[in-house]
Order: sequence, then C-alpha cells, then structure tokens
Amino acid sequence: MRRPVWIDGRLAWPLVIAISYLSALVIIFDFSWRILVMPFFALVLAAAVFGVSGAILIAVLILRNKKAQRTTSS
Amino acid sequence: MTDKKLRLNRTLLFQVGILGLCLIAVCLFAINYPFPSPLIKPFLPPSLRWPGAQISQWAEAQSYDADYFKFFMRDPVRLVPPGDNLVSASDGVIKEIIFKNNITYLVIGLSFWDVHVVRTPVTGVVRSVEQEGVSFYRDASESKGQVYLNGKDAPVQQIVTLDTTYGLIKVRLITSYVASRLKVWVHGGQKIEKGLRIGRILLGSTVVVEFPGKVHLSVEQGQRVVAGETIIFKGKALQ
Repeated sequence: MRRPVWIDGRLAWPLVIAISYLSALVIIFDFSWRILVMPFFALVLAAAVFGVSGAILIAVLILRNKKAQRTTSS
Repeated sequence: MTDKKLRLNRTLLFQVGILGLCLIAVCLFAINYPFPSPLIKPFLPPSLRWPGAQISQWAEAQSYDADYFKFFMRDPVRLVPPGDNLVSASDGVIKEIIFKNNITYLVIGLSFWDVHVVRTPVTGVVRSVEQEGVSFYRDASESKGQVYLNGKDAPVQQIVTLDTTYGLIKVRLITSYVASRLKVWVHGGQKIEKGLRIGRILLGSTVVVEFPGKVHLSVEQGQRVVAGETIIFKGKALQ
C-alpha cells in the first residue's frame, strides 16, 4: 500500500528530499542573512521563492513517481 | 534474505543517514542561534564569525572560544616604512584627532577583530612606563572624553613616554571594562626602533598617541590604520 511516509520498507523519497531541502535552506539563509546586508522583507521574499520552488520540485517528484507506478502496474 | 529486501535495507540506511545529517545541521543552527553555526563559520569574515555580542559574553565569563583566542593573539610581521616619518602605534580606526592643552591627541579605537599588539611610532628611548587610572568604560561612547583624563579619574592605562628626535611622544594603552588587561614589554632606558612591539591590550580598547604642540597629521578621522605600517606623519620635525 502506498503511503506518503513509508513505502515498502523504506522512507518515501519526496519526504527525504523535502527534509534535506528545508535543512539546506535553513543553513543557506542563515549564511545569507549574515553575509548580505539585505532588508528583512527581501529575505522573507527570497525564502518564499525558494520554499515555493522546493514545493514544486517535490510535487513533480511525487507526480513522476505516481506515473511510473501506473506504467509498471499496467 | 532476498536481494530485494537487502536493497531496501540499504536504501533505508542511506535515507536515515541523510536525515541524520539534516538533523545535525538544524540542531547546530538552533543551539548556536543567534550566533553562527559551526557549519558556516569557516566561510564568514572574522567580525561575523565571532560577533561582538558573543565576544562580550565570553569576556564576562572569562572563557573564550579557542579559535577566536588564537585569532586574537595573532602577531603578524609588519613592514615598517623607512625614512623620516611616524607610523601608527596600533591597528584600528582613528576616532579623533584633537588639539588640547598644547598637545595633539591621536585616538585610535581597536575592535575585537584588530591585532592588539601596540608598536612604537618612532625610534627613541623609553623615558618611563607609568600606570594610571582606576575606572573602566564599557563601550566606545563612554570612552569619549575619558581618554584625555589624567590621574586617578582616568581609565586604567599604561603610558609609555618616548624620548625621540621629534620630542617627547607618549603612547597610552587604555583598557575598557571588557579588556581589563594590559601588557607592556619595554622598560625605562630601553632604546627602541620604529615599529617595534611595545605591548599588548587584551580585547577591544583604545590607544592614544600624544604629540607635543600642534601637529598636522597625514591621517584623518575615520581612517583605518595598521600598526607599524601606516604613516601618520611625514617630516623631520613635528612643527
């Protein structure tokens, strides 16, 4: 049975990628916040853009997985 | 165990490894916040790697980060310019150049990230090394106006008086509350060359160079100077 967290004895890749992406984002933004002199609004905007792009990436991965599964089962 | 199961176990192990690394990275960020995580520290310039607030905390606790302490205690070689000139006594930023009571004061402010080795601005003989003052100032705004004080009310300082061809030149090594410690390595009667190390202040503070009479220095307020290298006066005589 397909679940968003656990698939056949392993974790779902979109979940692993999402967590890795968010962790990397924390480190990158911490670094950017310190090294760049930018208004807080610009930083929040940049974080939102990165967050949305990450969400899109994960959504694409999930859709590809589903498509591949459908092809295999048919 | 079948091949499929073995492959799944390996995949799971790999995934757990990735998540473990992520957890470590986020924990390091959270534990060290608002100061930088050790993961990004090597890529930051010194003033961001060890923020002033963090250094003040270490100073209060009298316990410093080993890497910062190593950085702070650095003592680089300086190329002293030859010729008839005077060089800066310390690294830092020129806070003020003031003429008062027939003395020209050159006030150099040192930050936590400057080299704290103080050098002689000109060749001469050490006439005296005196200790003065009882007070401590906590920040730069408090230091303003205090550095000129003499006697008991002045901040804790050591005054190295040099007998030179330019006249009597005094180098005052002044501590702040955070610094609180001074070391002077020269003694009365010792002949010292221009740019020679004369002492060290521990942590951010102030160095004041006093020249007799009105002197037109070749540096200006706000300028960054380097001990033993930046020429602060050119010429054979001060006036």
